[in-house]
Amino acid sequence: MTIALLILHGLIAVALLGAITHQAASVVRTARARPASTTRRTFLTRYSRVSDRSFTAAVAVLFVLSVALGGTIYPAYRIDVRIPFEEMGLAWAVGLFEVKEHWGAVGLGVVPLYLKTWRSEDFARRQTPRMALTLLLAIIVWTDFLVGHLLNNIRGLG
Amino acid sequence: MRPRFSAEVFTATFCVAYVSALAANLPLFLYYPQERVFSWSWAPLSGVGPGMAWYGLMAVAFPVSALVAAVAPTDGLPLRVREWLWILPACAMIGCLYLMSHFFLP
Repeated sequence: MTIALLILHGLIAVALLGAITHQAASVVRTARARPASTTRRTFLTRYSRVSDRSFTAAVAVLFVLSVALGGTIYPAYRIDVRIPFEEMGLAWAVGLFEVKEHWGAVGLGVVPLYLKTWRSEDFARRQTPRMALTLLLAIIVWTDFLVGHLLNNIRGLG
Repeated sequence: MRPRFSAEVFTATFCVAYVSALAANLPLFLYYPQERVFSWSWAPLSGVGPGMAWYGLMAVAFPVSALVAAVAPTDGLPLRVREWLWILPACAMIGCLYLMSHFFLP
């Protein structure tokens, strides 16, 4: 059961990674927008040319789901993974997981304000908070994904 | 009637409450997954395996910030302040990194 939840956690993380990276690229591109005639048609411009607003609900739902699933399988990590890490003297690996869990919690607290900056008229003409919160969530998602992947490679569950 | 909720206040309070509880090592409870035991004491129990503080930290930060966000006026903060609220989660992330730095130091 734990393995199934871990795989689901990973799949949701992949979907979240895609959504937040698209949105972050788009919001940065909008902030640095140049006249269309001077923009070259590269892969990056095409990648970032998406409706950034349309990703908001997906990012929020996927982030909450990902943290909830992570919280569900956390006890298995604490018993089956962290103890062997400690026995192997891999304090840095334990530390990376600690950073992952705390940043995930901070991200969960950020979600309501993130949603508001994308949906409220108050923030419609203010690009800075929208971009900053999207980039913060992107940093959290990328860090958590890479740390989870690395730790699972060192010692997975099961 | 629509319940009041200030997203700005929730995020700001959550970041402060979570990092404060983490820094002070004051989760609401500890969970011991090996024996599936909850403990309301901050002192670690013996003979029940390793304890987890994360659920207890969330249990501090969520109700506190939800309560404050429901009580605080939604339009109480000027837009100029709300525009810079993203600094709080950024500081919270740096704070968490600092509090966990002992894992990476020799």
